[in-house]
Amino acid sequence: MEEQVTVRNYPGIHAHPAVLFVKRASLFKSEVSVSNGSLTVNGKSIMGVLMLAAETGIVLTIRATGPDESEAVTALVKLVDSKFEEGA
Amino acid sequence: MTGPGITPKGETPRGGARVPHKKGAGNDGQGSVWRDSARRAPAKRAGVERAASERAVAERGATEHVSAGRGGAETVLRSGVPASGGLTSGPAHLVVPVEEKEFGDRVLAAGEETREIRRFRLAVRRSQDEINALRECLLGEPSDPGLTILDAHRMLLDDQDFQQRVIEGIRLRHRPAALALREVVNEVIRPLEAAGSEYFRARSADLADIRRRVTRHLEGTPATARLVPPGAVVVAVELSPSETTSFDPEVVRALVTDHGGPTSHAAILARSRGIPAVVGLIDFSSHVREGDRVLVDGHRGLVVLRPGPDELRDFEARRRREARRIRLRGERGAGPAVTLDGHPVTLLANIETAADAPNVVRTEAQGIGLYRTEYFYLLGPHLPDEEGQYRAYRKVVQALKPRPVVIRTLDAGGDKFAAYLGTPREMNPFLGVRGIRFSLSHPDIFRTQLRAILRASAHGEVRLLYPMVSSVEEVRAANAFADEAAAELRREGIAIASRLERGVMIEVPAAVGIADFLAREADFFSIGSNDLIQYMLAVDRSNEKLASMYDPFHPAVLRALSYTIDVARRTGIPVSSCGEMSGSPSGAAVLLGLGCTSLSMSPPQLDEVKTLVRQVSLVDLRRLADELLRKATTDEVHAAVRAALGHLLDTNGGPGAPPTGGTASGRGLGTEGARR
Repeated sequence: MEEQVTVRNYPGIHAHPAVLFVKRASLFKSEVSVSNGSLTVNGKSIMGVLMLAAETGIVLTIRATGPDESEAVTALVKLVDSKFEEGA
Repeated sequence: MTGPGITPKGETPRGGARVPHKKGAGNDGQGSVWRDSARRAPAKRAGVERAASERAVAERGATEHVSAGRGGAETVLRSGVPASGGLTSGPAHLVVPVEEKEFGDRVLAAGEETREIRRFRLAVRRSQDEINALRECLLGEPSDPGLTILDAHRMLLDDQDFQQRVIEGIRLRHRPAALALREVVNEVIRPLEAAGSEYFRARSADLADIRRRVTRHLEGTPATARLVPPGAVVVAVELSPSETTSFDPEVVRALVTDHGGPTSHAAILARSRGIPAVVGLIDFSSHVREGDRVLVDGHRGLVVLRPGPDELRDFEARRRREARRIRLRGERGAGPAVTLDGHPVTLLANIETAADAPNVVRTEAQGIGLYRTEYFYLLGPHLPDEEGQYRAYRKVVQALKPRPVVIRTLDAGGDKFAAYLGTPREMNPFLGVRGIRFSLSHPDIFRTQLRAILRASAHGEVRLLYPMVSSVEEVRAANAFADEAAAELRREGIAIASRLERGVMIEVPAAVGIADFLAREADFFSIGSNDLIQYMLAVDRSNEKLASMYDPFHPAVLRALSYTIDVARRTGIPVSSCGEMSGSPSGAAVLLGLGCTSLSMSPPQLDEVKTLVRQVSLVDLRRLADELLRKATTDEVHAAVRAALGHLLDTNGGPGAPPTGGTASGRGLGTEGARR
């Protein structure tokens, strides 16, 4: 299961949104990975998410494999798409 | 973060601080920057007596002599952002970031890996403990990017991928732990450094601080802190959160940094630990050599490096005077804020961040008369959320309980929001979308703040205050928003106070003109004298060329104050004043005489104003105010105030210099400069 989403918050996924992303991803059992172009990282690792250097306007691919993969992808896409403003 | 009114940054040439006296504002031999003239705006602060030029010549001679004697080491005087109050001096201790030290390219000997991995794990654990302690300290502060960086640091330290990579570096490539850590952190931040946005690049440095923290624990040297000689003034380009927390307030006398604003980590922590601090000194540290003497005035944000005998003498004199004043205040000022003829006066404190609340609790302030909320918005890359604001407001409200806390809704010009709202810059932000105008035109932002304030109201005595009001419609519209937010919260089952008092700032001449109509819509008035003066007189208070024209004792200002206070009294709503004027003894005396018996000021001014209150009678002040209202010129007003109160105002050498805008007073954070 994978889906693409555009980073909409300014200036992008820096420290705070990265923390939110990883916290959210860690709620799911599935393995989560995120890609920015050719770079693919573990979505449950803050190091990985930071390394994406995902600035505003960049398109990310969020991928999950596991028992709750579709919920995970939906939740994470929603988080990015809502500019990380929905309840953390 | 330097706002208008904060002393201009950059070097003030020796003797350059001595400019010709501008007008009869009652200056009295205040020749040196160290002499206490705290309530004057920069230009006035520098003002001296008429014999200034002769003195300056004499003193310059002395300085040259000193410089020669010290082998050409110049005295350097700088003014930056006052971050934490206090007057102190000591030998400089330069803090150089740990990572600049060379670890070398050492490779571990066989069998050392296991020990190195253990050291790394231990350093990680110690770093985690430290971050948790630091987070406690910063919780509830405005959305300083630092707090989110700490979260990221904490998470990074917990991150298995991260730890694993460092451990691999040790095990497989035989790197010492510090080197392995450095390589992994560099790998993480490299993409950030390559990013297009300036913000990302800046944040990569914050992230790199994790390396410094862990390295410090690896080396077993809480290096920066341990090496500080007792009684030293710490000087640095910038202090990372990890460094700032490692200082022992018992050992460090003051913190002085080139970077940073009033809400940087160093500033907040210094305040909460009571260490005097000046930040934003640009390149001060580059002039400093280890062990050089530094004088620090945390109240006004001044530092002097390698002071000459005259500066030292003035500094010591000022310190003695401050000590004497505190002692005298202890004698004359002890007891409640009641006038000689038995009238109680309500003294309140102005604050900027939740970190200021504990300081207020220690004073005799009867509450917070003005909690500015601008810093939530002016910091950080995104708008503050409801939860973060709520936590900060609650922290203040609970700390002050049962004393009241007046929270002013966002008062910043639209130009400040350009970065993340894409609002256009304004030609004249003073007359632009400021204060309540901004909030009403950005309903989402306003609603979020109102909800946070309302939620905090469940925890104590909260009052709401609208800034920059110029019409009845604005108050009605704002109240409608507040009602709506309250109803919404009740529907959601969230606790709020049953009734929240709503006040209006009187700071625009239009508001004075319709004060009687506004009194029907509002529960109380708060006079914002700083802006009222500048709008009444059409004088930009940050314009040094006009500094002498910015004067609270202008007859037009006195009339506006008098009218507003009379309307409030007639209609039976409380009125208080929260500008710089309230915090100066002469200004406070005039406001009391005009009938305003509730005064809000920055906390360091409370003692002095209370001392005045206890030595005057309200009957006399009323008579004085009546007399002042008949004066045609500002100079006549000053002369009359001096004649009546000079003996009481003379404790610091300058009789009742008019309070002026700018941040000369108190910690200097009290500026309304944050609005611009």
